[in-house]
Amino acid sequence: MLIPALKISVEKLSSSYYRALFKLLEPPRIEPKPLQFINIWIPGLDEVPMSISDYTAGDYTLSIIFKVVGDGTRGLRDRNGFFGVKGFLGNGIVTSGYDRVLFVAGGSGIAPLPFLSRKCVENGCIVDVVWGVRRGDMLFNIGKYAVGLGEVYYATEDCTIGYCGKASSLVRRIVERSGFKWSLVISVGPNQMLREVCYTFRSLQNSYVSLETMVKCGLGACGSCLLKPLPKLLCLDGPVFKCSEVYHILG
Amino acid sequence: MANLGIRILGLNLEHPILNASGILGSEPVHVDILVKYGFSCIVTKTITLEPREGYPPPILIELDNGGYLNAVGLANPGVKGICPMVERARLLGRPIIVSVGGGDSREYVEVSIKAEECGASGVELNLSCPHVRGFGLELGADPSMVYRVVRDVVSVLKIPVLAKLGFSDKVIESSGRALEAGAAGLTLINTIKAMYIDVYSAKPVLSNKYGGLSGPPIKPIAIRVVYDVYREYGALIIGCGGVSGWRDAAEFILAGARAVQVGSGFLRNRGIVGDILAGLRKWLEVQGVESIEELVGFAHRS
Ligand SMILES: Cc1cc2nc3c(=O)[nH]c(=O)nc-3n(C[C@H](O)[C@H](O)[C@H](O)COP(=O)(O)O)c2cc1C
Ligand code: FES
Repeated sequence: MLIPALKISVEKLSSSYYRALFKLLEPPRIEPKPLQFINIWIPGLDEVPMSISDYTAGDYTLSIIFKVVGDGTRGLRDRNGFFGVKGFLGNGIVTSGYDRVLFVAGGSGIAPLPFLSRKCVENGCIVDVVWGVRRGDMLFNIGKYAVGLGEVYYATEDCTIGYCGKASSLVRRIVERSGFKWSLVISVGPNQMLREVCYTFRSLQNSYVSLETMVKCGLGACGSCLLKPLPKLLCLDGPVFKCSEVYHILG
Repeated sequence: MANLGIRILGLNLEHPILNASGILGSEPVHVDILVKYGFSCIVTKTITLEPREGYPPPILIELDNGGYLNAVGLANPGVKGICPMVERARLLGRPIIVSVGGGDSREYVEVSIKAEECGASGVELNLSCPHVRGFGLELGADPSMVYRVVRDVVSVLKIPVLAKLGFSDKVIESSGRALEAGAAGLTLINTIKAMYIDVYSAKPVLSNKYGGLSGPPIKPIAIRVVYDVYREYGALIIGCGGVSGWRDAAEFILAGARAVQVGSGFLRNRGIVGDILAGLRKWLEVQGVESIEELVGFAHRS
């Protein structure tokens, strides 16, 4: 179903990221789950997959955090008025039953955190965050958009803010220093990072990654989101997988 | 125990439920997925001579009346994609039918020859793609063109040829001409040309504007076409269009289909094959019939 959505605002968060807020004009059939995604239609221009960054059930507002990489995302930034939301797509993750969660993000992998932490708070859990980016000017204060966070660590490859190096190395250091305190780990970012974080938590049952591939139809028909060589489609079976299911295909 | 086995195109299928062309089926791992979900025979995405990128998104939307509208633009890997898929199906022990598309008769012939060389169990000529210029619909609605393409392909092939037609005023006549030209059977029907306009932005949603309508809204039309074609020719028919449960499959069989393809229904319910088979088994028991073959075309008895 294509849910009509009105753009309410867009703001620049840092050198690289934007946040756009929409109001859904029709109630969705079901509530989204953290780490589900939408295909957002920019009328007459394109349709692009986007993580749900945040969603509030009471007033049907939905936000996305994105980087401008082409015509579609430029349209998301520059156009006003009506858009269309196809979703909610993919499997997502259920946070009930966990007390402390670690969220590891690389680059725009930070996008789904606000909705994840919102749901976590509802279920009485806390999310610690490790966020790595290439340059310090890409960072913004994620605590402004995400409620109920525990500790927040930043890593930059240009060594300007926080830890000097990659998110995955920072995670390893934190674990070496103070051990595991998480019952759930979720990583979103480049495959190399996902692989390294999965490796660090190889003894942990509930270690998950959210993957990216080429999504076209979003509904399990076209097959473009296939996670070769696995017989799995990202848009239906994913984007969230257990590390153990996909470790061997992570770069 | 009710027997759902069915014989078509010289193949003994475990049951009558195939996937419809265009639901996955453009690369070997897709074949794994379709087999995993239980289809008794795999149908590939429509293959053209050269690879095609297809249209940019949006290519598929779900409508609030239960239907789907798609304009994928025949995205496919071209003939080089055929052998790896056929090979995979063979490893998995399932027959595979290659759906063939073309801009002219020569292209249909060349792609079909490749399918036969690769070891496909049959070809299904897509004479009815409603949203790609020069690929289909105009062709399927022209009985003499249907005759020509089918005859050209049949004359060079040993494996059986199915003709897949869409809905048009001429569908009964086109079916007759396809059979006359040597088609082993017909797949009825393809999607129906349609459009969806978003009333807020006031724009058609699909990038191609026009698309093909599938799913429950087209089922009564498909049933009518199968019924009429079966009555007219008594031919082998594979029914397609809007099957979302066992009752729909049963309806196609009563109208005259020996097998049924499922497209949209599978998008909504990945477990649809198992659900249909369980329903059909019960239905056979209630009808007091041993084999589903006995019910093919049963709605026509006087
Ligand atoms: C996303 C999508 C792609 C399709 N692609 C093809 C195709 O490549 N070739 C073809 O003959 N039919 C194609 N079709 C049509 C289906 O094979 C089928 O005839 C039609 O969808 C009606 O069946 P259904 O209601 O079970 O979906 C496609 C349908 C859909 C929904
Ligand atoms: S995007 Fe088309 S099948 Fe997943």
